[in-house]
Amino acid sequence: MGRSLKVDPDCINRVKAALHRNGFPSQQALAIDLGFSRSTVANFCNGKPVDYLNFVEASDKLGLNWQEIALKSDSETTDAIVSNYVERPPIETICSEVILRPGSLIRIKAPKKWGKTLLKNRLLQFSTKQNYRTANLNLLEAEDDTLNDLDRFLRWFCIRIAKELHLPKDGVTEIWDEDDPSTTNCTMYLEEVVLESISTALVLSIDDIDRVLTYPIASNFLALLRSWHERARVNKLWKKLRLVIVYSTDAYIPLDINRSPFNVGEPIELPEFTVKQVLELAKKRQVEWDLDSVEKLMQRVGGHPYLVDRAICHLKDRAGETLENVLELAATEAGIYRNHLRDLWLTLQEHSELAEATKAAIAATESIRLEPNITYKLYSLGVVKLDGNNVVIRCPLYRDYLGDRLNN
Amino acid sequence: MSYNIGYHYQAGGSLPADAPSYVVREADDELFDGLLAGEFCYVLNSRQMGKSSLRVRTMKRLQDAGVACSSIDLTGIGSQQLTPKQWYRGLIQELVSCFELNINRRQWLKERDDLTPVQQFGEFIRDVLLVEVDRHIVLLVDEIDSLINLDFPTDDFFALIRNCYNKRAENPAYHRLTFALFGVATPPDLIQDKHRTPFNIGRAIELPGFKMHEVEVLETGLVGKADNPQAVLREILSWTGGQPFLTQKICKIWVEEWTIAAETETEAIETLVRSRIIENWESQDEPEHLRTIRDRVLRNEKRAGRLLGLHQKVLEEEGIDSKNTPIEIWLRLTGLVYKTKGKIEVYNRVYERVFDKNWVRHELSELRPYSESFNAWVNSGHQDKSRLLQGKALQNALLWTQDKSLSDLDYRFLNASQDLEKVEIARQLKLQEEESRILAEAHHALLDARQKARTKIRIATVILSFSVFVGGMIFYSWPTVHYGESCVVKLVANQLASAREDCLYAIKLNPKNKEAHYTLGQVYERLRNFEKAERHYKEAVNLGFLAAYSELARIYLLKDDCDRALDLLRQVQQAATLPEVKYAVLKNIGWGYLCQWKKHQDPGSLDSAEKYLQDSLEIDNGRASSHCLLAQVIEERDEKEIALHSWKKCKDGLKVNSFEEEQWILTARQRLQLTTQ
Repeated sequence: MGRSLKVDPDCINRVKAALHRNGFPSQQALAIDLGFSRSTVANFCNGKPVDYLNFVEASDKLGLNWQEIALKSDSETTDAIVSNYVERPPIETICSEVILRPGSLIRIKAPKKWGKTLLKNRLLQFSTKQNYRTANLNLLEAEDDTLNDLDRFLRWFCIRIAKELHLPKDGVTEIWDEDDPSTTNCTMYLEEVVLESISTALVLSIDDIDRVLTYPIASNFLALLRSWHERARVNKLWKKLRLVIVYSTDAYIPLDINRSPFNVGEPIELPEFTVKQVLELAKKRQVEWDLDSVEKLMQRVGGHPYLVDRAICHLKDRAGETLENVLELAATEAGIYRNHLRDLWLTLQEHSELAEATKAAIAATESIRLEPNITYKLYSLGVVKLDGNNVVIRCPLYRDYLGDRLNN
Repeated sequence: MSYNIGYHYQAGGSLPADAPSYVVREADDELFDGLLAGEFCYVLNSRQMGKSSLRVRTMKRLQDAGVACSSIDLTGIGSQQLTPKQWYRGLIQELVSCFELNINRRQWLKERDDLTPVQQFGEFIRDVLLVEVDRHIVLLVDEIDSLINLDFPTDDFFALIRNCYNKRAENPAYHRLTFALFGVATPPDLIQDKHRTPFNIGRAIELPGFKMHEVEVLETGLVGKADNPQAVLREILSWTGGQPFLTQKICKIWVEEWTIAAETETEAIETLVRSRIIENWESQDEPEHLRTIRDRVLRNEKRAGRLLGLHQKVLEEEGIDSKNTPIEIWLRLTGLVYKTKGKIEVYNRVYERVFDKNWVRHELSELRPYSESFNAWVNSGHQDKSRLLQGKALQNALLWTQDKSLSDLDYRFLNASQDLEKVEIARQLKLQEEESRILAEAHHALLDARQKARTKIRIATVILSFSVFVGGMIFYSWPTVHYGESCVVKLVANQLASAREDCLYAIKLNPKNKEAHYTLGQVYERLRNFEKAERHYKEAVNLGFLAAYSELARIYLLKDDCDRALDLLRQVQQAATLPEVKYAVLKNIGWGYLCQWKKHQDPGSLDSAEKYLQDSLEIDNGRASSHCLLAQVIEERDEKEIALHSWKKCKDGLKVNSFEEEQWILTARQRLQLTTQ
């Protein structure tokens, strides 16, 4: 199967504890033991998508029940997608319209945990209803080694597409000729095998595409995507292709702009939830909330989709809990956001310039100006909002939690 | 009133052939007619002028006229360490795919293994393309400038194009083959060999911006969204100069989001342009346009200075005479300026406002003076130590960095340079110690020899002359480096008496040794001899040593001579930007104002003191001395409770380095004790 699984955020601590319990001093050690790459194990331990088989094997090694710790989100059932989704007009309508146009490109951009994947899944579901074929790829599943070499990467890319469309893997190796450029091989595969075999249209969705931006292959890969998009304007076969790319940041890397998909196509930027949308989400989750509760919550976490949803889900499952209680403990290690906040904190710690910048933003009373690179990175983490050229900390929850840790 | 549903503007990317908002220009017909007649045509100008849209549109027209066209995107083949063999094969595949040629390309190429890639391509054209396709063929190649990024020379490709035209004389089939090139480059950028270049036999298609009489199609989208679409459009053009991207973008904004709140179209468009395009342009530039222009100007560090300089001239003189110099042509390629009636002018009012004199001045000051070394060092993976700056170059670079906010990589480069210099100095020191030891030994040996026997005088003489020789050599290189450095070393080790001697000697050897004066000042401060400290700091200041200004100011402040201190600090305020120096300056200015308040009691001083201390904390908010001063400021406001907060930070964080800091920490302890009692 080509499915990928993620560890449920609530179980990440269990996984990490299991690591130590089983005598692995580090993720690297586990990687060596299993014969996986370090990034695969890192993804596993951090709740990021990992190939299904790897997930099971890693869980077994750690003595965990994989079905218990796996998160059921991306592979949510159709019903779940429909019932939990809160519309943010006119975004959904635009997406549905654009995907019908031959050779179209949709770019979905928002900070992490914003609901991009949900939107994308919904769009794919819509496409399937139109009898289109869909191929859903995620660049987080590509390993470091793969991303460091264009040929390896493009092969991986084609093989993933093959898997999604239930085409034989051999088709890729058969087409591949080392005397030709990798890009030619890839394009040939897409043209002669994939698009040939499809009668209606193909929606090719690439999630976390910004992963590739830090690798040298970025400009070639993106230029390739852009050339496919341009080709679709004139070539009958290629008109069947629709591209959907999903990312948190088109970080400030001076890509020659005529050679990337980041400045063409339909830009979709997801905003925060409005009060009305939060009310709607609560209703969908079958939680009784009034305006007052919503405002209280949003005063703490703004309209951050994940933070809002988490609170709602938590209160739904626990009858005795009150919103006040949840909010009081929110910025602490006993709160419902502890995993999320800790991950955020760890990320900042790993990159001191981000920590410094966040510290400055917290200390400031109004919006401040940061280096573009840092601005984009903090924005994609969801830590800050943009205010013209300046940034401001996104919500009081972050201000409290991060401020506390950064000042010690 | 209804508006046209289905009509939409597009800024960025090529317009589809049937796009309702496509503006037809003179170039459209020129290109179409030229290609139809079999001429080699090229459209080489700046980005986002509508080249790709022109290509798409022309291709459709040609196809409608029965011509077989192929649009070749070179970036799709890529530039990733390709060999010529791979690249030409990729090119051939593009043709196979485009014309749906019935051929097993790989087999065909295998059978011609012995040919060079260019020859294979040439044969492919003659034996496959011209044979399988019996109509007129036009090959439109976009992004031709991407060829420049390939690892191998590409003259052959252009020579081949020219060849195809030359072959028409002997082989009529070649009359059916026509090339069109599109890109952002000048002909000499692409090929310099004048005998093989096709650009001498081709037609250059100029692609200027939209003219008013050409933009009627754009009006259609405005119907229902404006009382007078034509007037709106005229206003838009007055701002964009007909620049295709900007014009489409503004039309789009108008239709999709704008509501007319102004009296006239002029005002409305002005407000729109100002708020949505010009202000905060860096964050509103989506899809990218202005940023691209900026990048094109600044990308090549060697050229950037000259481009900026030329642009500045164009701004100042509001247009200059065109001389067709290379730098002028490059500036035109950025899209920032254009040539009209023999003059070079800024392309439009938007660019005038965004890339104005302030912008130029700012960017010029940001250009690294050490860019070449820096880039070479970066390209070597930060390994090539020979690229690091030393001596005067390093000093100049460090001076330049003041007032700049640099990238992490810049700081790493400079730190690595400084580290290397320290290692170098230490090495030299060691060398000199070695030499002095040799000298001493030689001296001993000399005495020894004398005492031993007269008969050995000849040997002694040799040794003596040797030692004199060596001594002489050492004497020349010893002084400045040796004593100046050891003075610093000893200060750090807190061997104050010894440090003082070395510094004095260093100054004796070179009275203009500003570092030595500065260090000596620090030594005297530690010895609590403020008079002498002041004297030597003054000397360092007179010699232009930046850090000394701050120290001298501190001395004045310790004497309560606020005015002189502030005066001194203001002189360096602008110049200082290495974080430590900047911090010290700001903190001391804050202190200076506090001092003034204590003397004159004017509230302005107290506010200024607070401001500067806060500013210093922004540079480095872990530094306790600012908190110590801030606490005093707050106390002067009679907010003793709040002051305690700062006193705590003062006490907790302070690493006592100087006299005043000792005082402050005592005060801090006092205040905090009082509260706990």
